[in-house]
Amino acid sequence: MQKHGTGKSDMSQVMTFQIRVKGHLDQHWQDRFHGWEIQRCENGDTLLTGPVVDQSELFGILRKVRDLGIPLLSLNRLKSVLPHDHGSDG
Amino acid sequence: MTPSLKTKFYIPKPRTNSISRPRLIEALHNGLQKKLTLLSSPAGFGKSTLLSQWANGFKRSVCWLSLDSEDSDLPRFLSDLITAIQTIVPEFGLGIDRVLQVPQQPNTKSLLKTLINDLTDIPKKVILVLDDYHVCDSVQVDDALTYLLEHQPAGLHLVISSREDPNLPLARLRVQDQLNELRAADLRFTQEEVTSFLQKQTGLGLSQHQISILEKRTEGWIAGLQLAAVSLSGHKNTREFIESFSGSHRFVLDYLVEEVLNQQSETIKHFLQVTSILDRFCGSLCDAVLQDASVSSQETIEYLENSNLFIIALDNSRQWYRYHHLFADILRQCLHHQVSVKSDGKNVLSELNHRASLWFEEQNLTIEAFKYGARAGDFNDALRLAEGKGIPIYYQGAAVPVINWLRSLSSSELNSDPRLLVMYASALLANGRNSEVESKLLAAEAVLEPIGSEINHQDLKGQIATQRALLAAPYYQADSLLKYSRQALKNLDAENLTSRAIANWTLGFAYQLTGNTKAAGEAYYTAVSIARQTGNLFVDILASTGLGLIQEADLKLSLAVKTYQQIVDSVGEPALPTTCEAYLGLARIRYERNEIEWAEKTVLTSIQLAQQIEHADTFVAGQLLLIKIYLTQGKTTAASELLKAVEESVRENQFNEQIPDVAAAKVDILLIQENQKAAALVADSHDLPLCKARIAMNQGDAERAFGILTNEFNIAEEKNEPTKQLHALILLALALWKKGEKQPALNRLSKAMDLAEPAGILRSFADKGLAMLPLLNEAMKKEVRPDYTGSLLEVFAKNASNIKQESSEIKSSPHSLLEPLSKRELEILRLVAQGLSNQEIGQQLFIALDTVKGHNRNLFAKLGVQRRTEAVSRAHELGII
Repeated sequence: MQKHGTGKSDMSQVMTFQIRVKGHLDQHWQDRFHGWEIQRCENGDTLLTGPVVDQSELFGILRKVRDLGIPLLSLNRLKSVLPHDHGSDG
Repeated sequence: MTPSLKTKFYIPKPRTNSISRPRLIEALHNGLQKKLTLLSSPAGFGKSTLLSQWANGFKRSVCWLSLDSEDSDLPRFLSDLITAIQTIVPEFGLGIDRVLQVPQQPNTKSLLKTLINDLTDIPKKVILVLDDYHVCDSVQVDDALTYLLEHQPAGLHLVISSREDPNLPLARLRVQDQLNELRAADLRFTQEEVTSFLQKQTGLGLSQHQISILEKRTEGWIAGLQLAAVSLSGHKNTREFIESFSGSHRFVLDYLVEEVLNQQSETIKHFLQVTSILDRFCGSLCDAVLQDASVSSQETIEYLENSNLFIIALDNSRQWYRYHHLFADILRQCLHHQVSVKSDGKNVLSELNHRASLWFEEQNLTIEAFKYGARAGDFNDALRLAEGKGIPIYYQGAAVPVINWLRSLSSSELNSDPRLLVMYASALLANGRNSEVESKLLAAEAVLEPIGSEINHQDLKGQIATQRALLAAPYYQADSLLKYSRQALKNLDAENLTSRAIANWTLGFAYQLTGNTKAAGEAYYTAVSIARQTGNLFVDILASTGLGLIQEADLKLSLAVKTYQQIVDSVGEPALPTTCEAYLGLARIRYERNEIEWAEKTVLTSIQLAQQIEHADTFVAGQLLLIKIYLTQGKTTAASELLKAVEESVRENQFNEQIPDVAAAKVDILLIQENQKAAALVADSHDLPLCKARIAMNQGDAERAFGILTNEFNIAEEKNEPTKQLHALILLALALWKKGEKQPALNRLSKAMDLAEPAGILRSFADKGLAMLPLLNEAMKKEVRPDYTGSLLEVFAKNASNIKQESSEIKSSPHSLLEPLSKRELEILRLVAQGLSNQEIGQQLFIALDTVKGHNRNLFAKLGVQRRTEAVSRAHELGII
């Protein structure tokens, strides 16, 4: 659903980001967060993990977090593409 | 600019059962003597509610503006700011507001200055609330507010609420103790507040333990507590609810909204979700979107209001409402989720938006109709709505929504449809982003040919040409203007009245620049009549002004006055910046008719209006007329100071078209200062034949003057330029008179009078100086048009006092200097003339070397020279030494 600009971006430049927020987010938010993976941690946090083509897409996602009043805990760029619950935010 | 919705300026009514928060109200009061109060916290911390509680306490001083994304456009933001202030000071900023109403980029810096001046003039305290500042995503708006804070009048207090710290100089304000801050930690409910809130809302008599569980779970987040209260009220088992809520990790909103929704009937649930697509709604609009005859939207809205279901009234008459932003967000999300689960999910959403669009269109709210049309995702519909009825919405101040829509399209969608690209270009042009236009036009041309037949190629080609003509206009590029205007008119549809009106105007302008006044007049006339058909005031003014200019050049001054006056009257008070040319024309004619005071007043209006338009050189022409007026009034010093300023702004802005006129004004001043040499230099370097002729006459070379003028007259006659003919004739008469050829001189004068008398022209004669007097006296003696000659002589008599005053001013500073030399400067000048070095002068006068140099600088400036040798020869010339 989300349009990614011109689609011209080189996929090798796609970066993976992980956002930790407080509270368990429902699965239905996946649409709103550009289809990012939603993982609920045992401590009650949620990890949102997904690709961004550029900074403006990242800020767009952060703005959604802001607008829902979801407490933001951390933001990390992941080295590996695989999102996992463990040890991804230091 | 189409005015914004009134609901943006409405101070929301606090809910009847909301709790009072005296500690925060007090904090707001205490901050009033500072410049800015900032409420900065995430969504749902009750910022707007708190402000509305506080503001309703003293409504007469509070003006309220709920910002929306359209306020990211600075002109729209300023216009809304003014409208907000007008709710308590109705006469505030009317002039500035008009400036923002036309599709011409305003000069925002001068607007801001005017705005601050107007604010300073308000006799009472004004508290300006900008609610939801975070939606306004624009560096321009941030800069404008920063400027306002830096020049803030004492009577103004600014209140900003935002979900993020605004890009304003907050650190500096903090240091200066000018910032009153309320942040999440201050805003969240304290335990006492949670207690009193829950008691009041639920009436359940919760235990202290239960309350503290809820407080902990929501962390005092007000939106969460509100939802919890609503849930609790509808829940049968309080204890069970609290236990499962506190036992859950789910995001507070997710959990509670689901709870609340589950307590509602299917009908209400459906209503909430469907209407969540609407930014604001009323009963009739909801009916149109729901299309369910069994539901009365009005009754449903009343139910929601009574049940505290996050619905906010947007006006006093309880007609328009919106949902609390957070609530609406989640409702929309649920709707999205539900419809996307269905296979045809996307169509449901677009159908709903489409229905909303139709409703707004029926109400003639075209801009909102467009917004929902765009959300519905139907290109053709959005295109049609953007074109509007009569005048496209991007020419009515809604360029930004159109640009945003086009930007949201994927580039493959956008770049394959020339209609979208041409509209993009138009909207950018209307938004003053001229430099971005051409690339869109090129892109449109690239795809214009191969596309299917449903697109009207011809008309699009015409629109492209129209825009290129408009782009060429500020640069006076006659060739491009002519080429593109013709191309436009050849291709444009007969029904495309907006573009046809513009193209006829640019065509008229092109003809005017090339001196073809007849053709120009015809084109302007066509432009005016088309513009009036569609109510296009902007093009009407531009083309009518063109007509006026032609009439003026033809010396049909009475007709020109009528035309200009009609433009001014059609706009009314306060005037639009676009009318600056009409005011200037009126001022010129009043000046010609020697109605000096009136001319001065009119030209000042023109200058003030013209300065409000970005990149327009009309104010320079106005200032040049003002210089002439000053000279007539004997204010030589004021005139030369103004000239300096004009020269600077012409250089700075590269208004090259104005350079010859500026030079001519300089010659006028220099001649009055009897600085023949400098005047001759200016006239030569700018090739000003009439000035050269006057200087030649002053230097006693009437023969040479006669030659130049005869040539000028012949050219003007050939080109049929009556104004130039008139000036050449008057000077010819003067040259002949100086040559001693009295009768031929009188003949020329009489010929000049043939042209001038019907127009009531006086100053063109009087401005040629006292040398005219013997000639006019002779004409009187010979009874050449005695009435008219009589009134010309009267002008001289009237101005004699001024001129005498001025010349005595010159005499008293005996050396034709604007500023006399001081005793010390004169002393130094004499020593310089004796060939002494600066050091020797210092030793002789017992002053430091630097002091000598300082005196030299002043001395040189007063003499208008650069070097010692020049100073000496100038001093000799003036007879000072």
